[in-house]
Amino acid sequence: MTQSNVPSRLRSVLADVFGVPPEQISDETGAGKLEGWDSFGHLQAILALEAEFGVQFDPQRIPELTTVSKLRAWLEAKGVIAA
Amino acid sequence: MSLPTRSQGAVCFSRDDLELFSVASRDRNPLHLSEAYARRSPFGEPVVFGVLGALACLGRSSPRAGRLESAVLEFPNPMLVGVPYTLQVSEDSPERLAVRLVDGRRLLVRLTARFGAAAEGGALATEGPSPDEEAADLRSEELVAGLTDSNPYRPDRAALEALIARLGLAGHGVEPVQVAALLACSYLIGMRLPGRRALFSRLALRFRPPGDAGTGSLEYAARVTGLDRRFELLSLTAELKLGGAALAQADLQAFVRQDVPADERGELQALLPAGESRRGRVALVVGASRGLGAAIAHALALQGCTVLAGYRRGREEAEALRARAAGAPGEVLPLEGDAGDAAWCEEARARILAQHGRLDLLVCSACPPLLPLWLEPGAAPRIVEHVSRSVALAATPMAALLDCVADQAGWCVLISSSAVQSPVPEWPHYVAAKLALEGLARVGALEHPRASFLIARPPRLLTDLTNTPLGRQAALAPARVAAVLARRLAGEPAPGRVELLEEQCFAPEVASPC
Repeated sequence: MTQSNVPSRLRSVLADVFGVPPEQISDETGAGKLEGWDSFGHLQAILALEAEFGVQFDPQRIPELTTVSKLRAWLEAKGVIAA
Repeated sequence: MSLPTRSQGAVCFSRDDLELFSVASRDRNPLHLSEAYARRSPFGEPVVFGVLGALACLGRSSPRAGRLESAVLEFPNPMLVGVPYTLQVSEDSPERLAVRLVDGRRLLVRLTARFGAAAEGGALATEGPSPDEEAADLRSEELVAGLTDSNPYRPDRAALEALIARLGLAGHGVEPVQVAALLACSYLIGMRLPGRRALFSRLALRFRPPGDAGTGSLEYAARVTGLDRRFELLSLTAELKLGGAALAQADLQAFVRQDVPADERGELQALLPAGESRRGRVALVVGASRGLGAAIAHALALQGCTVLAGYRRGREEAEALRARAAGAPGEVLPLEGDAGDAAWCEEARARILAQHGRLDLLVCSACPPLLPLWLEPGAAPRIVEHVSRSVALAATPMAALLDCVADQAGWCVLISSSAVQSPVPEWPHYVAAKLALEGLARVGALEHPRASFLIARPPRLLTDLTNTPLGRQAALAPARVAAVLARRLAGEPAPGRVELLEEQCFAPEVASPC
């Protein structure tokens, strides 16, 4: 579990959305693997990340950003978290 | 930090529960009460009021002497009538309650509540009955920031008391006037802002200290604070008053359901060449009242085909399809019945041959209502039922009609999905069903070598079944898939072969089939 690669802000937001300890959030965490991360949970995660990082996700890309690693890569590309 | 949860038994809602809640709250939103209306939603049937689910959780918590100070209610997924759900409690102290209602791994309701010391709160004045009203039908473009709605709110007192008794709410930290406040929020979202298009998703409610509350009638004043047009997510705030004094403040969120475009004429006419290449041909499209089936039926009629549009319950939609296709070179003739019923299929065969003398094309496009399910024990019976019903809707008409199609060296089309190549969690029943249909096509081709078989694997389409806030994103119009199929079916047949049209064949930039 590559938890240490996940920036703490990202980990904290997702932990809060899904009601789990931050330690449970790793790069491999995602839809289908974390209880509550279904389509609605995914949308809640997106909205929470937008509020935390001041970004707006492209709706067309949202359905594919279903793992922490993909979300992290997208946020890094936007320059709001360090690569 | 999350606390360990414990299961606290099953919770199951009946139609009578919904009716009682509706009478008490005056929330007559048809999504909860009308089979016909709910059938056209992604859920396929009436869903349980979210606030009812949360109140049921509250009633099953430990008795407490305190008074509700605040609550956050979330409704991530729909609850259906007659399905047993599991109550999970992670905190249940005199001061705090954290509970969830789940269907296996699927979260349906999350309730967190804080309680303060017991105190004499306000009393709800007795009111007479209010006239029935229809739910508003506000569209996204009308839901502008600053839009307000203020009204007295009068729950049905007798039904309210019956609801409190049925849910066992007395002695669980919530006063009748506070239950009424929760009902008011359900009414506000389901009947007023936005009304019938609402999918209530979140409520945060904070009660004023009891000494501040008046006695008398309830009233609310609500204001739209914003609408996220990407997901059609509406946010509003509301002030609730009792006897003119502040009772509570609420922050509410609801998704605003959008219409699925019903008229595919323009798109089909733009995509299909004008012509009557199918004049004189007869087709049966199973599942033709809406979605891809309707688009295929219309596309074939535009090519001159006589199309029997098979449907089970969507008579109104089937007649609307007939009307839309009225100017086509061919025609659409609605044909009511259950394609999964062997007796009906035999009867349809006899009627088709008697009235039209032939059957050149059979399209199997019917699909049962589709809600996400995890592959887990509680969902297994529903997974099996879905696969069984899906197979029946193709195998039964194929068994009855393939010989007729083969006699004409015609086509049999099975509508599969790109999901069989790229499955995702929560859809084991859908993927299994579509793979089964593909199997039917492959064996059908061996048993009827004079007929041609086509399996279509389109990507996600925008239909009633997929019309959810995320499901709509990047969904393809059914007309585009229908046009690709119609063009292929107008071309050279391939007897004894199974042709496969993969997802990329339906991409918008593709002008002709693969």
